[in-house]
Amino acid sequence: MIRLNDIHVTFNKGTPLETRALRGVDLEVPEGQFLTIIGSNGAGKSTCLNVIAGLTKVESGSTEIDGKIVTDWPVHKRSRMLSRVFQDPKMGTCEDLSIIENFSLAHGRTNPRGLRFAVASGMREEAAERLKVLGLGLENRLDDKVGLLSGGQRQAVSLLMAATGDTKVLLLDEHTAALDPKTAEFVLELTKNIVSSLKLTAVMVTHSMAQALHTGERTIMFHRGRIVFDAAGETRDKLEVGDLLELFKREQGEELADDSLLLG
Amino acid sequence: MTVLLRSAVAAIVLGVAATSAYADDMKKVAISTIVEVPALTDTKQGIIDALAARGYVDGETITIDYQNANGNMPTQQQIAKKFVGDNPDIIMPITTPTSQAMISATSDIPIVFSTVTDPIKAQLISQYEKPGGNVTGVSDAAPIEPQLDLFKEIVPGLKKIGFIYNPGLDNAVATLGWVKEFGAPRGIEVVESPAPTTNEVVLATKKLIGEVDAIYIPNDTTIVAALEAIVKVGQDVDLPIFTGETGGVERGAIASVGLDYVGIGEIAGNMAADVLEGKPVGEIDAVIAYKTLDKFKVVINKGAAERMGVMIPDSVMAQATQVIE
Amino acid sequence: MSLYEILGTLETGFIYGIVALGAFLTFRILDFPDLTVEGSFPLGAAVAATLMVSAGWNPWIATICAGLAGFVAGFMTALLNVRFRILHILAGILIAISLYSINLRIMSGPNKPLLMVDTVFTYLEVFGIPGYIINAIFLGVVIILIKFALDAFLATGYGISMRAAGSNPAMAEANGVNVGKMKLVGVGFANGLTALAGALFAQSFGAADAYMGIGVIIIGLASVIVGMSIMPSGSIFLATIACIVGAILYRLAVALALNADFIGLQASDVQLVTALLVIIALILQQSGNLRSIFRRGNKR
Repeated sequence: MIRLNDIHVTFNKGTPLETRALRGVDLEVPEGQFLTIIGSNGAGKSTCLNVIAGLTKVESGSTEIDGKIVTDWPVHKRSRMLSRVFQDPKMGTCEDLSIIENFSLAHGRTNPRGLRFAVASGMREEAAERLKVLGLGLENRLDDKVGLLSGGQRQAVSLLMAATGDTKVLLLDEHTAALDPKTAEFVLELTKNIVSSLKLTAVMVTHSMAQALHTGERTIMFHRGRIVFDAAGETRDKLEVGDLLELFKREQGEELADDSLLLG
Repeated sequence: MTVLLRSAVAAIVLGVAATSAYADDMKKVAISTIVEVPALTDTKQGIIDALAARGYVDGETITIDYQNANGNMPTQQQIAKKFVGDNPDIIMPITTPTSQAMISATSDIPIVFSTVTDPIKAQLISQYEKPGGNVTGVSDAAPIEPQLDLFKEIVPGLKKIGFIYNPGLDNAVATLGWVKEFGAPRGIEVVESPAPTTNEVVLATKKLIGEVDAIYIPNDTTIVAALEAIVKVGQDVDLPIFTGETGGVERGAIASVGLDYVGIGEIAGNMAADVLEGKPVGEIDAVIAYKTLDKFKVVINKGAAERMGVMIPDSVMAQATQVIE
Repeated sequence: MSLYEILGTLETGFIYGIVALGAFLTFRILDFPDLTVEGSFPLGAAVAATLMVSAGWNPWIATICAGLAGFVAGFMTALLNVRFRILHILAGILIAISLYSINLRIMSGPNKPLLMVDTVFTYLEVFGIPGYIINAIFLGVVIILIKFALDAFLATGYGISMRAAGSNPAMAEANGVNVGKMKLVGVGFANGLTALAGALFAQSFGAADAYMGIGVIIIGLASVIVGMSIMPSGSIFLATIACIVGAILYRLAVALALNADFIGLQASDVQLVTALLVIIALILQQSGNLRSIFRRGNKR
């Protein structure tokens, strides 16, 4: 479903701040797989996600989604196939629009928008059905402006919105990082349910090794712009955080010293 | 914030109920202008002076309501509506847009305009003689005839005069027509040199060298912007440069004749007095100021003349109201 | 104040209400401070007047064409911003400045009188009602129609995309909205409205004048701010009403000043007071985001 071929990304090329964020990344994500990505700050994990989403231009290499070469496609064009949940809960929903208007917007992502009224009658029922699942009572507040909801509520709504339409790929960019532990857990469970029930291909970037290893089927780790670790299925099930650290030390010849990675 | 605004609304409501600007027993004169610049305040002054001379004094025998729109068109429109609602005995707009707003607002109340360059082009009246309807007034069209007479005095033997202008501006084209019309009886032939943009002005000036005895620069914004450059050319080849308005003389042209705006206002004020005394406004001939006035502003720049190789005759110096060294 | 003056105030208020709706669309919905209006208002006046006087066109068609011309102007401003990444305020100023010269060329001079041609208002005489009454009614109907059309548009799929594009561009892009295209259409449309208002104003005033654009942006902004501060405007439906109310209140304030010579207030002072009002509103809202000026109670 997703294929990255020899991707190179450099920021601020030719200046003293030049950073080679991705140095030759090859990645293939089969349809229906739930992939988690970890790495310390600056390792390249967010850049990788941004390349798939279309936010970051590549220096060389190509990106394919669902068999189409999308390397030059702008963000809004790719959104027909993929949807995204951001780390900042404020980013995933539009606070000046109501809940139902937000849903209508998300619905239009895969079904082109026209001059017909956005909130057609069927849409209210559909949105209410989906919101019921959250158990937050939001199905009764369809006309409330999203700005009135809490961060966790907005993130949950963002997740539901990301799953509307004919989305094939779900990109999750540290989407529980800004939430309190209880809400984070709630949103993570919701994520797992949505991905499995809709059979989506999902890529989740997380800063927590534990979360990465216990979510989805496959985990890859970025370090200094390259993928240094890739485990799936049974091999991965057997690993604990400590094992990962050992592996890292052996392969890279240095200690992995990023606290947030370990403690998260 | 909300309290402040709600109070403002209340104040507005009260203002709506406020009484009219006029006392009931005296005749009412409504005057308005689009902006206040010296020429226009001079006009207003002339109006008030002339009315007073005929016995109409503000606060004693008449009430004057004067409103300045301060450059704001919608405000000008509201002033027009206010005037009509107050039903004055006469409305006196100063400048073209103000006049247009007043005429648009009423076809009954007498209107006497002033300081309008071309009232026929502005569609205020269709003819000068007994215009009919409810409108008449005074035009401040450039005093081209007195100007040409002055230039001929300064440059005896003036046969050909160059005319630099922007052919895309109606006013400039109109002025060209008048200069030709008034030049003919004076034996002056006009040689036109068009300059559609300011960058082409110097070229247009140089084309006239050797072809003309002097150059006339009309009140055309495109050309006047490059006046200093034109003056320099004139100095280099001893070709006299004259302008159509007096501001240019300070910038280096030799001479010009300007209008006395207080005098213009006085003409309008006298027309207004006639109306107040009962004369039907449509029967009062509209007037071009320079044909009626006998006083003009004559500005001479001695230094510029010398630099262009021209000697100002004493007869001209005697007429001067302002001399620049 | 006479009935004549009150109706005249409404007339001017309705026309500038159209401008306020345009300002609402750019400043509030699209988060695109648009200064093009100083040029597109007189552009509408110039185009309509020239078509009517020099080409003898029907005033209704001329007025519509004026609106189209305004759309092009707004489109140009947005193009400078979207395609060439010029700051929105700067783009608007550049186009407005260019339009001043363009308007002079269109009219071949600074003023084009409309006193001796048929205007849209001439056609209203058929109703047999005095001009000062029927004109106000007509303009009232026009702005109500425009208001409802705008409300309806902003409730369509396209309209919601436009709202999202202004409110949260990153989220909008991620949901398939071409934010750049929304700006092109939105800013174009807003200036189309403004030019339409300019064409109507010229016909009401009696001439198209190159200086008609002076102060338009302040009038539009102040109308929106005053209107939305003074009445509830949480929904689009209410917000557009607030803009129209604000425009009318503004003209009422001017009328008050014209009638209040006894307290020394002049019509020229209203502009200063308005500017102060806008400054106070901007400061009081204390936020970097321009749009939060209009937000009420939804801050978190």
